Amino acid sequence: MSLRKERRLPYPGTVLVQEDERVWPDTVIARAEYLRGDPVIISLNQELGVKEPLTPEQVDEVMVKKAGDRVVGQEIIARLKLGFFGEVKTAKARATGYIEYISRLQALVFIREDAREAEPLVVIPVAEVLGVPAHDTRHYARVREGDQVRAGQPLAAHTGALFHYKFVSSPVTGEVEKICGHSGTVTIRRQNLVAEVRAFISGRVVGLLPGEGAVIEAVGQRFEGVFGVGGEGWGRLEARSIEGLAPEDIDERVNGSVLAVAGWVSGDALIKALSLGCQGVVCGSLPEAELVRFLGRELRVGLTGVEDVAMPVVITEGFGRVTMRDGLWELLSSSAGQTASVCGLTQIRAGAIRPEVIIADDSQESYREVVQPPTGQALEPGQVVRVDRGPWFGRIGTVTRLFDGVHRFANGCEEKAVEIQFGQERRVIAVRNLRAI
Amino acid sequence: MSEVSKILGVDVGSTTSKALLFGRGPDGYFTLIGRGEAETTVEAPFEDVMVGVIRAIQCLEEVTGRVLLEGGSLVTPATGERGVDLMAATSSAGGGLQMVVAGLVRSMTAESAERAALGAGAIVMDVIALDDARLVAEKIDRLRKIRPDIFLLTGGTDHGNLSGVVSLAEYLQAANPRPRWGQCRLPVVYAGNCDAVGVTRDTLAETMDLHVVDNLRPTLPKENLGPAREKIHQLFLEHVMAQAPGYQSLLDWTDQRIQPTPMAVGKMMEGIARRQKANILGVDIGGATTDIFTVFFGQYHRSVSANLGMSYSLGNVLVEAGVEGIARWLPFPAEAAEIRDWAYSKMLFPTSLPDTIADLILEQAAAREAIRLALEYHSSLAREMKGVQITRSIDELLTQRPSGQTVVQRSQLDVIIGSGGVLSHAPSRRQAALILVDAIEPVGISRLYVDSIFMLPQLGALSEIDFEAAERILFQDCLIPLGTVIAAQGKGIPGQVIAAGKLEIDGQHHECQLVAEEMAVLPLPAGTTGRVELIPRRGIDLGNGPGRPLHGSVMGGEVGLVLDGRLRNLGREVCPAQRAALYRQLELYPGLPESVSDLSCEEVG
Repeated sequence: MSLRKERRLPYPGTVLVQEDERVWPDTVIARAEYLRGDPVIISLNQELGVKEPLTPEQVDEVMVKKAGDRVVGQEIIARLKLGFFGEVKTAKARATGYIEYISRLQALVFIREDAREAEPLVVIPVAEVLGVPAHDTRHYARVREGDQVRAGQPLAAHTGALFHYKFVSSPVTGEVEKICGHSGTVTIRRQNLVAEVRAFISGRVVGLLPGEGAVIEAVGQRFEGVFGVGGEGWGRLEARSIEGLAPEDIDERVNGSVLAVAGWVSGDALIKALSLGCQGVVCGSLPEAELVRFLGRELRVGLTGVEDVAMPVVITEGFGRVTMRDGLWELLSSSAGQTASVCGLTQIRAGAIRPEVIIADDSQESYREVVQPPTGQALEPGQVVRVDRGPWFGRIGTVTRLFDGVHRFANGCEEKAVEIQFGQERRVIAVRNLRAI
Repeated sequence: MSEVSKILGVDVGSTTSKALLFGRGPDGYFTLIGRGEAETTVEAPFEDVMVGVIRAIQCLEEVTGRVLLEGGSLVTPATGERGVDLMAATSSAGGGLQMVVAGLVRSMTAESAERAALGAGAIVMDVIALDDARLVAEKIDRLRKIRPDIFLLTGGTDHGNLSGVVSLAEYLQAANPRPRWGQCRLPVVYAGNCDAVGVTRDTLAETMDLHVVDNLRPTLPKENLGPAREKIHQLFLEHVMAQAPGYQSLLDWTDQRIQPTPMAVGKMMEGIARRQKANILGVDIGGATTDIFTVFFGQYHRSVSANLGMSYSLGNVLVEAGVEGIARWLPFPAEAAEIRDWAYSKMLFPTSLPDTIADLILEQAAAREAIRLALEYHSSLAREMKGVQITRSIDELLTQRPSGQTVVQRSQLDVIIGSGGVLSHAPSRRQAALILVDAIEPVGISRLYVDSIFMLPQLGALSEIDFEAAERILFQDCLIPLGTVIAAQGKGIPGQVIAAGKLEIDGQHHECQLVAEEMAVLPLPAGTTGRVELIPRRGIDLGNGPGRPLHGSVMGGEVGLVLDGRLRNLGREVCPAQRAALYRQLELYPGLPESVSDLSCEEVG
């Protein structure tokens, strides 16, 4: 038996691996390169220079294009006649693409730039728009060659006659390639965006998904945590047999590694690990408030995986301060130095997705899934169990006695229960709060 | 129907599966024979509801001594001490509703779509809009990674923008997200520009389960959320909630379709309202959802809050109510971190149970907040579920002020019914009564009932087979009268008598009074009825208006007559010592803990 993972691009692109090829977690499986198809929003009120905002009916009147129409850069999309002499004001498309939406209420036109048509170089006639000599372009420019600019950012400005202020803004996001004193233009090179999908695990390509990605097969070990955050990460596994990991326990050595901690981790320690380039944290537990501190937002329901954090965190036991169960810790500590792949995506509901940790290991012949033992199973005296809830959460004990039927607890609840020996103490715990291990 | 002698009723909840056996007695009527339960097995390693169902039936076998299973199959028909003739099932194992919504502009149609989804009690996983900052590739990537239950696609006013809506449909088609239940096609509700219906159908109909409803923004100033919200509700009930791994096997065992639990419970609630000719409010609080049912002056409303519940949705209850919201019901001081860890741990281990007093009190505190929030949501829905298209002004759209009056009137509430594990299995009926009173805050006279052993869903399913039998068991075995609560609202000084009068029981007259900010419970056994006459102080409302006297009948029950002088500001900050004093006075818990960590598990010898 082996583990299979389907790795797909969000957009059609080029598959870069061959069937039966050996891949590692950071191997690029497929890549799609494209220019950003920027959404361009044009304010008719601003472009047409109206004093009062246009009403929806006036928007209908001034528009010469309609939603769905294709437009090319600088094409007139709206025209307005003003005053007795019929002065005409126009609004022009700032990009080639399609008019995606016209907001009649806000007098906005949304143009979705056609990324296939987008030119990598955009030349803006700055001197002409400002009405200044071409050789003065550099003087009026507010940017320099090599600067990164965002769409809408001013490129050049000039205070003309009667303090009439004019400026030219960048229609696209990119890098200023050239400011030309001969032609009076500013050239911006748009960035090529790259979407890549990586293997995530070490293994072999067993199937290709043309234009999209591939199926990877691996052997080794996999287990699921109970909760996680963040996306995917991988790195050399470093195991720390420590109960409470604090920021001072973390140094530069975590860079590029996946940190496995037997106990719990503070929010500050997670923040420091992230800042030092740690690729993932797998820990026994975590006080929920510490996770909120790390994420900067409430968890609300168990739907995670898209948090804006570059380091996945996987909890194996639960919230609070509990150490990792022995089986998992033995697996992690004995695998130190190997490459671990961690995914924090979690959806806690029926049909749940729990976070996963994969230690792909070619030296093994098969794939092994370390399964979290279920609760509520029939128990026998002598069986070793772990408690899932209450003040004894995380403790390991041995079943010493079974009760016939249901047991009435001190709080009045009646449930199937067993007596558990924890060291010198014996307690009665509900069967549904126990896992046989 | 006369040949049917034994019926098995199964309800698969999000955390607990229950099996009930009904049998026809010598008088020809069905009665409850026994009950078994086991934890629901929707999650790994089982991922098959049938494991939990079989365990619950095995438990039922132990209780009744009747052989129901043989070789992993149900024994049918019933003969002697073996088998059943029919099996009826309900399910809410699918749990809460997770949705993704899409619209053209984030602040306009996408926001209306989000409001429709939230209004249907969903958790909104993401809002996709043409003008959001993400690239198309990022949106598609995101859609591929998440597994929603339903997708709501909107955009454009009627006869307005077409291409934007088509773009969204194309993004959705390109992503082809997997639904949470991997085998079926993703249900998509389209509530956008009516002109784009055809092209949307061409784009999505083959790969998605497309449902078309009226545009939720037919014109810019008009918002029409009703049709989309009702369709989402219907799809959730019929295609999501009852679904779970192993659903097909369960379907093979049953003789009827598997009913969604809220539908089955709602049927019984309507029956109670009809029989008692009263205004009723029913609560069914589960692990993932909290359902509220009301019948006011013959008008029936049902709401399912898919993000409020006692296990899977407890994290959301905590965020919605705040840590202080839960802490205010505790009779001991508790650190915020302790409450947070407790709530989120319950979310991780949904089938675990409270086996200490502190744990039980925390759970019941959270239940009060979940019911309170679900009732707030229900009240907002019940005002808009009249089928009237709501025209909202731009100002209303921006401020999101609700329009219209809610039909839920606490002062007109005759009967309150509680169901769900936390209420039915509360160790003392007095605890269940106080949870209902604290969460619902009735005013005037209200009779309280609780579902004895959490059997309303099965009765709803049974009613499909034999309605009379279901109704008979409902009043005979299911509804346990807790008593009557008399509550006031207004302003008063703590300790001051705010209403006084007499209580007549069996011809004997007793003094009766309500004291501001105090509660009292008078014993009034089940089966006893009486008449009460109370004259309130000026400004005090006993349900008939400020200062107006109250005349009415009261019913006895396991708890008795609850005189609630707390002036309907139950959620205010009360120090744990005061809360503890009230709980001790009401003898609510056997031995209150001093702190949340003070209590350990039960020690042996």
